[in-house]
Amino acid sequence: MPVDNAVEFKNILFTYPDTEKAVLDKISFKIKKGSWTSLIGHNGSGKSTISKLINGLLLPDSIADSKINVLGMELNQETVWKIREKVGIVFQNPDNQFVGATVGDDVAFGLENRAVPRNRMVKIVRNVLADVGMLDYINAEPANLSGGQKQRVAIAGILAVEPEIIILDESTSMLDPSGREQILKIIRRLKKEKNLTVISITHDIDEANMADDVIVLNDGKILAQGTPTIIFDKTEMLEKIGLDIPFVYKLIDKLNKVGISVPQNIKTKDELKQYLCQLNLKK
Amino acid sequence: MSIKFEKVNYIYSPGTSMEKKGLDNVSFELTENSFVALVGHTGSGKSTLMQHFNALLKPSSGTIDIAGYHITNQTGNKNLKKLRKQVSLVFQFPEAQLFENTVLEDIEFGPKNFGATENEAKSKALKWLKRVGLDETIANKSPFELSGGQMRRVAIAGVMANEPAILCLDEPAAGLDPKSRKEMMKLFVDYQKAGHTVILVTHNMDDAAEYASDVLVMEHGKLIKHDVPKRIFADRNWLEKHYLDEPTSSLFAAGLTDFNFKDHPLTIDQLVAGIKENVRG
Repeated sequence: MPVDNAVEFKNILFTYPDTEKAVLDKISFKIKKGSWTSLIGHNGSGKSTISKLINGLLLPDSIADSKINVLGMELNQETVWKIREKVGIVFQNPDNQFVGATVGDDVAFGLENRAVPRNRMVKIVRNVLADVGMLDYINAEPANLSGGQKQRVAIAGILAVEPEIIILDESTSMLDPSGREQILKIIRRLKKEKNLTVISITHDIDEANMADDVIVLNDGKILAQGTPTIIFDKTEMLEKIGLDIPFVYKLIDKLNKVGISVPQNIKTKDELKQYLCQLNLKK
Repeated sequence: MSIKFEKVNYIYSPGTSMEKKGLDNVSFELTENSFVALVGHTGSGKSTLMQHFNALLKPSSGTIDIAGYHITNQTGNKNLKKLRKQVSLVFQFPEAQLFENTVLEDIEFGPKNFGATENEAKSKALKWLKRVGLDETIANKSPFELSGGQMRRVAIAGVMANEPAILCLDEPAAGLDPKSRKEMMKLFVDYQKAGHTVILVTHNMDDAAEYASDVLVMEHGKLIKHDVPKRIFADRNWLEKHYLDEPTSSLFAAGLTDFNFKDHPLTIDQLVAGIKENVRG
């Protein structure tokens, strides 16, 4: 039977050592295989804890009837290594995830750990660097790269071990706008080519607006899950918990407030532009 | 306190094979108490320029007048303390520079360094701890136990506690959540309104459009434009040519064909007002 869900959390409680308040308070959710799911929530809402639980870097508190399933495998002592091979995480700070002296060495690290034969390794390294447009830099020192280039190398290192799930843990938040756009473009292409599931933890609300599915976290609880249209319609809820809303929703909200009512089915910038132009012609 | 750069050049590693021009004939003048956005791509010379504000780097040629100092390539490193008290720089990811045992000690470090007594330093530290939106209860915690966003605030409090006349910050809100971003920007706007000059190095054109009185645009070490946001963002061909983003509202307005905007909108409120004027005739 094919597995539909890439990740499934059931009744997960997590408390950091020496603290009393749970970071995740008995949460349950599912992430569909092959989807792009954005996790949003303010700093400290538990987003990054979720990403570390998915690949077993952290273990949930043991309570009854609680489990994590990744790609159809229940996460436990036996499956954790297998799951880690299938889940790659790109972290926030590009400077904190380099181990190699050159770009090529760095990408090879994961393969060396898995004792991949050298001739195959050389081939894979070249392939994945080409995938992220960094093949020309194979002998460059990581220190001489820009932030966006470093993140591309980090992604190549993850692609090298052929994961099925890629988690972007605020991977673009330290980059300039063009670096950010490049990374997202690469991930979007790779997702299609390699049939990846992408889980993106992000503050970039316009990025979340392009996801298939959005999960909203607040103080360790899941407030809502749904398509961007469903989620970003909840303007008040999002503002109450300190989150931004995409530009087009903000604009519609403000237009409604000054008496220009915008039909409910309008959800994108282009639809709104078209509607306003028609309104202008009719006046 | 006005700032004046005249024909400032800066050359990295002069006379070596690594020689590279960091600043190329940069001249501008900023009036006292302005809010300045310094924009440009990675590698355009923004950081090099920023480091000239308090003479961390000195011009290879040309002159800088700032906070009563006249800085040239002859300026020595002696007697710069007063300049650095009046002009403070906050680098990117300042949380990486925290080092003291407690939050309070870390914030006190600057004022003490500039001659404040124990008591003065403490009261300044507590004042700025609160101003940056942190609770007094964390004063005695180790800064390394805090979240990334809290660490950022502690680092910024440590600089603001010196109450410099000119505060220069490199992407201070990068990586923060939207609410923290807004609070952070408000902190700097309030600081400027209280009579100081704030210089913000940023990639965010929406922030530049919303807050800045002056925008400086750098490219390849040259200052290619210095103007008010309205005129900087009015010329879309020029922006496109230099690969600069337009503010979101401005871009949206440009897509509304047959609309007539008296002033091209730069912020969402200006956009809403402009749309209203158009559709109501």
